[in-house]
Amino acid sequence: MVTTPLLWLAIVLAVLAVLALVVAFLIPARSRGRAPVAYLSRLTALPAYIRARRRLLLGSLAGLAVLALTAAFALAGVARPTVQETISPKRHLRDVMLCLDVSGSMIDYDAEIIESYISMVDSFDGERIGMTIFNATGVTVFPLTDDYDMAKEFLEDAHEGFTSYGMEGLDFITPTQPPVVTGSSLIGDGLVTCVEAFDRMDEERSRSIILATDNELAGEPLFTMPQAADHAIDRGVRVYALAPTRYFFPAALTELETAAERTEGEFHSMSDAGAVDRIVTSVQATEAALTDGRLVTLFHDRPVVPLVGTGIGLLALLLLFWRLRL
Amino acid sequence: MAALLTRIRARLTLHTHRRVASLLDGGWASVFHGQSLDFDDLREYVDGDEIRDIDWKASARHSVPLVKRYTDHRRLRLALVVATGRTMDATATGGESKRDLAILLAGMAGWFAVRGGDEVCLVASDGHRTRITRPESSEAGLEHILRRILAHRGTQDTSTVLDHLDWMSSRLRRRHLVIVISDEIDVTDAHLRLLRKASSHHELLWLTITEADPLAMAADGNIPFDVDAALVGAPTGTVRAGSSVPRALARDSAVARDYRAAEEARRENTARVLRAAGVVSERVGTSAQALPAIHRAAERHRRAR
Repeated sequence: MVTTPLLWLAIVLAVLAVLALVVAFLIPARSRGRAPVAYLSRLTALPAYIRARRRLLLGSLAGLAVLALTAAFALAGVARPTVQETISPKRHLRDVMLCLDVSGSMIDYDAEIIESYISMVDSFDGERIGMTIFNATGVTVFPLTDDYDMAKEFLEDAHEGFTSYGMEGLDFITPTQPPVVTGSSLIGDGLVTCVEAFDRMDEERSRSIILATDNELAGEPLFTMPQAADHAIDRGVRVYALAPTRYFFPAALTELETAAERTEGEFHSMSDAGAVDRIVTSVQATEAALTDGRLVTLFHDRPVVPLVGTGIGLLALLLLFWRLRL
Repeated sequence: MAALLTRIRARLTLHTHRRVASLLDGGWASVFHGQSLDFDDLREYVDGDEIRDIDWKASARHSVPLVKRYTDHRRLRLALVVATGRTMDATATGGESKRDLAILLAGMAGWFAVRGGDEVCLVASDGHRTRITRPESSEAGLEHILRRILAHRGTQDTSTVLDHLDWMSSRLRRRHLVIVISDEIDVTDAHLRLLRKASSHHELLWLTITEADPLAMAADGNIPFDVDAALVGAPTGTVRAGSSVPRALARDSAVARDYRAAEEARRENTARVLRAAGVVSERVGTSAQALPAIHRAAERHRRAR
């Protein structure tokens, strides 16, 4: 939105200009002519004179119009058009990594989780998001970015992949299950991959991971869950765990919860698929509460249009004066 | 209170005392030919005298050239037909008021007449119609006449000398020496009849006071305005549009060319009509030209006879 903080000055100047014009017009025309002559119509009735006079009149009108426009532009410039922008600078210092377990046990939930991610992207403003999927090994779908259009494209691609089990869209099986790595669902490794995906480690940024996994290990990982959590703590990354409700392996979930809480994150359990939305929102809210949400209002001057207008107007006026040799 | 005439006389005596004194003696062609052509005496030739006035036979018997000196004619009556309308309040070519120039011309011509013992009367408008004043033969009477011209300053009167001539042609029986003093009115073929009639009835000399050039004035920054328009606009304090010349237009070469051509054509036409009517005419732009113009007119008139 464009605001004009110096509008009063422009109005004062405009009123002064109008007053000057009124005064100039109130001075009687008689005082302008000074030498009386007779039979002036012998000159003023000449066709050449009438033509020249009309030309002068049109030229003057054009000059007046240009002058008025120039004055309007100049006054618009004096009014100091400013664009007001309210930003929360901390938002720009927030990185969110979506960390998705694409092992066979999580496939049923992944599509839902992706859907909620997609809707989550719409609410982002300034934060950077990234996405990593892992099974036996971690793969970066897209790195941390604030290009939400691209992120959304990838997420939709991934959604398609999950609903068609990799037949269309993102193929999540081949890249995350390389033949050289034994085992699958190496959660600790995946988490470390996610932690390592954060960049700009020299900057003071809020970093969080939304880790969707059931923590059902099937193989020999390089990092165990507690080790991965330690790594996350080292890097100052909060882990929000998102796990489907399981009755059969409560120990795995407890381990996950402990790990999440050690990183100052939270543990959420998905009782039903619709809960993902709420959880993601809650994660966002927690992050927002943790980081400073103070708003900063910035004023950007927008002098280009008035200045260019005034400049062009002045040039046109000079040209007119030169043409009419006034 | 002979202020106007005093100034004119001062001008005459200052510049051309001798010349005038000698030249105007018998300078007017006689209105009454036959009787007044006989001369009275001879006097010594002085610079400026006409060669043809030299009495060669008498000079041959004398050591210096002698010129004939005409006797004063019978009381010649000079009628000054002077434009006093509102256009006379405008500027003449030299920048003076045309009315002042008219007073100067009338005063000079009148003074020569009065000094020679002739009678002078003024034919001019009184603001409504043409009037003729009582004949005056004194300097005080001439001053009175000049004051009448001056008194019409700021008048609304639009009459011209042509109206006065028309009026005169039916009323002035006696033959007069008529000196018309007018600004550059339009004299066209339509006036030829009137002028012919007047010039056959009287001896007609026409002194034209030339107009100022509005384009030159405008170019000098001396913005000209029409006296007519100024009078019309006076009550409201404004001047009608088109009644003044904007400075920018004064530099327009097409306008200047057309105006010069039109003025030239108009002057040609006026001169042609006056010539056709047998009227001797001279043009006066500034007060410095007044006396030479009167002299020239008188000389040309005398020669024309």
